[in-house]
Amino acid sequence: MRIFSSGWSDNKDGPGLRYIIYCKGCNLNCCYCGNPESINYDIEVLRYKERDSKVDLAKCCQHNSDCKNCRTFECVNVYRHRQMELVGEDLPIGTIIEKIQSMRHMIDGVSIGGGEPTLQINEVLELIKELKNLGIHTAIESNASTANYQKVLGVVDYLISDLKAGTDEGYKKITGQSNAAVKTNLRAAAKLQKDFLIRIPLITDYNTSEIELMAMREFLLELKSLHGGELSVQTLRLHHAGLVKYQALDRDYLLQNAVPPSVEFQKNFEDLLRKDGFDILSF
Amino acid sequence: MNIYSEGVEILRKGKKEQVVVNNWFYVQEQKMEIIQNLTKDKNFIVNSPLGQARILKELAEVIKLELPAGSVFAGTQDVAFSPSYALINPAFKVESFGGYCDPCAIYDDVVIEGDITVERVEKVRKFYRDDEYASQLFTHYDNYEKAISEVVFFMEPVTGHTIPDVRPFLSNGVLAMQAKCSDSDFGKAMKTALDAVLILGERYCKLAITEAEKATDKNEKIRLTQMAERLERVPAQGAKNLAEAIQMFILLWEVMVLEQAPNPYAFSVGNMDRIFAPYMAGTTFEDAVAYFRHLLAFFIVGSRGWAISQNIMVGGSDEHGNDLSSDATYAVLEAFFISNDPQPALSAKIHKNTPDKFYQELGRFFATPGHSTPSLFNDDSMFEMLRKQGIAESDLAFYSIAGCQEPLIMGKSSLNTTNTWLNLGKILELTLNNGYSLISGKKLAPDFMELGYNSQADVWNNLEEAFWKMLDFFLPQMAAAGNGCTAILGNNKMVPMTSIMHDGLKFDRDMRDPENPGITYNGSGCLIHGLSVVADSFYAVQKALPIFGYEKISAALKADYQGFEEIQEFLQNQDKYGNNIDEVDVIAVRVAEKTAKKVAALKNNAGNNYCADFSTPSTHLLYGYWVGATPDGRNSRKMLGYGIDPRPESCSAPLQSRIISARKLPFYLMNGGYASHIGIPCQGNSLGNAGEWMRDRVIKPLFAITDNSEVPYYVYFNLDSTEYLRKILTNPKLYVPSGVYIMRIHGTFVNFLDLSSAIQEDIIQRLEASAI
Repeated sequence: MRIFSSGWSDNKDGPGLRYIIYCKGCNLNCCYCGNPESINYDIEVLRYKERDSKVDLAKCCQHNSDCKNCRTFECVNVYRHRQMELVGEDLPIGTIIEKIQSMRHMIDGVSIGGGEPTLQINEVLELIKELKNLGIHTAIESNASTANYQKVLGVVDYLISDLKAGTDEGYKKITGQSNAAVKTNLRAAAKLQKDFLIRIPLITDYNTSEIELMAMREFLLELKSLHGGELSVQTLRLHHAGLVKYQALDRDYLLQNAVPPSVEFQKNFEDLLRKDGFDILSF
Repeated sequence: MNIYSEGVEILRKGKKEQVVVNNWFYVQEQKMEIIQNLTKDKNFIVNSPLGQARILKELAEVIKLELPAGSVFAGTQDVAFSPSYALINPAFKVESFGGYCDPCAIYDDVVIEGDITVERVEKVRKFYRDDEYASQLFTHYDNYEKAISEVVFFMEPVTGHTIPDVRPFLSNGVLAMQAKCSDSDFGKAMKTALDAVLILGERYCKLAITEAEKATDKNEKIRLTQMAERLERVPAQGAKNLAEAIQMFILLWEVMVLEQAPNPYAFSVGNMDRIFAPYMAGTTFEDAVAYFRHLLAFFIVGSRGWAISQNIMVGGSDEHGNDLSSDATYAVLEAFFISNDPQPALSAKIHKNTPDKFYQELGRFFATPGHSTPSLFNDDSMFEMLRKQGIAESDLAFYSIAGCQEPLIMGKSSLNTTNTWLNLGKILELTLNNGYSLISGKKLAPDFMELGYNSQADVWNNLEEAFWKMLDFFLPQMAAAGNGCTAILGNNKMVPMTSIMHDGLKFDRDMRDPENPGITYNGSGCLIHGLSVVADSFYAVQKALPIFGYEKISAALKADYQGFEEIQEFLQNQDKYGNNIDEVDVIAVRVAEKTAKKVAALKNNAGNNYCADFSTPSTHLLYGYWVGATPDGRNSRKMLGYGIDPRPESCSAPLQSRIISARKLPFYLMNGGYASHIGIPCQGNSLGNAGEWMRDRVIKPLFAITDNSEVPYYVYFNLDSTEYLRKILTNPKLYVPSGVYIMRIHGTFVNFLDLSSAIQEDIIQRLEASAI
């Protein structure tokens, strides 16, 4: 399984304290993505030029700082250069399980996020199976757009799925793709997945118009109906925590100057949904 | 507010106004005069159990007694302690620490005022400086000057870090205990020492009657009259209720500290809740809390309540896992919560069946910024560790903490807990530099040839092996130095009073007898410093040698990295222990394991083993000051890691990863104890239900027994925002109008505002390096 990071999550990516594994590689390229290093499946090097270092990078590199063609990554693997960070690691499922077992007594579950985890569906299903054999609660965070998405339905204990826009236009604006597959997948999930959470990122000028909000609300009502009349929803406001990583990847971050929606805006939308009978999760 | 609660507020106010702490000096002067008088009889032997007991008894006759306003109980520790007892005091300076070599340095603490003149002080100082004990000690320290001048190791004369068992006294009374003493010389000595308790009781009783007659305040009169009534029964007879039990406890304690004055070692209480639980009947919870607050106030010496490492425990289980908390547990906790003083220290025992109510009560401490927070001990793990040390099953539940975190069995252990101090950082430095000190340039240790290598390059290429050889060179010296201190103390300063509160009746010998101590469990302590620096250095050298070569790295160390910044950054950037990175954590495990085993193989005068104690009670600052630059990238004279913890700048992993890392260590080999701190870098009141949060997110993850692995048995916390602490320092009057903001530093509470800047910064840095 290729991951780009792992860590801890306290009631944010599933119930309780969780160990979370972030898969590398994503089929979308969302304009707001907070983890741009997750998108490319290839192992990459990030360079944080703002970090102070007295070590001449050229001395730790045999590739004349041509990071894109480097596969030895000596700057990181040997020199641990402060500005450089290697993103991407291939871990056998057994190794991941071994690690999880050492912390089993302190976690409430394991979450698999990304990137898009369902792109590595075989590894994900194997990991879930192993975790369930150990009696460990599992969760997946998905953009719900892949063909493999439906393979985890009813298999994973807890499924968090994005609803990034209400209209096809809005979805294309954010991701560059149509939302037809997403809607199909989410409808299937609503029918088959018991513990199911819809996560809505609120992205200024992309999905915060009245049209988008109402379209999302309408679709959520449909999902709720399919899910036995109840559905959990979480909204997240745009943030710019990923900016430094865009810079480290030497990539443009298009939303750099976007002002995040206000807390009041978020609350108003949540109140609206609450009135519709949705269970709103706040973190 | 009842009259006892009212009284404790008056009493605490009086203590806070007690800026000058000179009482101990008057007592030492009186003791000098008693000795001078007694030794007119040429048959009187000062340095004998009977001699010491006689001096103690006569002291009890003459020391000045006071009953400060508000007192419910009679008794004080002021007769024994000076401010310099506490290492953690405002005068503390890393640069000027001189250890405890000079038993007469305490006379520098006397405040010259009133009837105390310089001449008077010097006369007393000279008397004690010229006695056998000090003379032998000075000579002994001189013999080890080479090693201790830059603290490769250090030693001190201690046996008093113990936990007396007061329970037989509380139930039987002093007269009945005297009747149990044999007719041997030592039996007579114990009996005579107990006379001191009876004398103090009688004198306090008379004083209480006199003061009650004079009292104009109605409540004060009641408090004093009740005190006198209690003193009619105790300490002579057994206690019938909680108030009598506490009164007896205080008098026993006063005589015990008087016996070892000035500046006695760290007597701790043990499970206060269990000691007093049998006497709770007939006392309301409110009164019990007030009584316990008076007892806590008894431990305070001076206006700021310097941390004198007297540790009180609550909670815990029996050897079968049954919870032993009771109403007394919650009354003691309530007393601590209300009083929130820097002394004494509170520790809580946790186990797999600890009730939620206990966590909820602890949560109040964690959730209140500036409040003391208990350190925690893990019974489930502690019992296993103690079993491996051969502690009897029936004794397990009575383990208690002496001082900061050293586990002993109440009334049955004398482990000389801080007998020796070992500086692994310095040993590493000497290994890497051919036996020469980077600080002074002096040759303090064997060179490469003496270690059995062909060149210094060989040493670097086999660094870990060479380090162990260097350690093997110093350990026997350290043990001899420690044993010398133990012998000098035991042969000169017998303690019949303290002995009878341990196993004195069982063995009929002094617990300090160096070669045949009258105690069930005996050993000697070794506090081991520098685990993380050594482990990180071993790892960094492995990585750096192929790139830079030893000569260049060695030159960098000698230059304290000036002009070698690239090498320093390379070394600093290597993986460090404490971040759940197996490759380097495993080295720390190995260093801890091998060091602990080597230390445990050393023998004291009685043929018992040394105990490996990975505690550094702020001495990680002091000992770091004497260690040059190290290959983990640390600069010369900077602090070592605290206890088993990584250095603050070496740790960037989240809390959970740090917990996993810590759990890899060989805790059951740390039979002398260890120090560890977890910083929660936010104020506890932002955690919601702090008790639950701490239980689920920190305590259980750290302490849970999961398999056959060795699990931590100790931890303490600081919960605060570093921004707020820095604000406090900029304007203490604005942010802390009360003048008291309690934090923890190693095993004790401290008033953050009273600390030296070095220790304030240590607390802040360790919090800044924390992550949740």
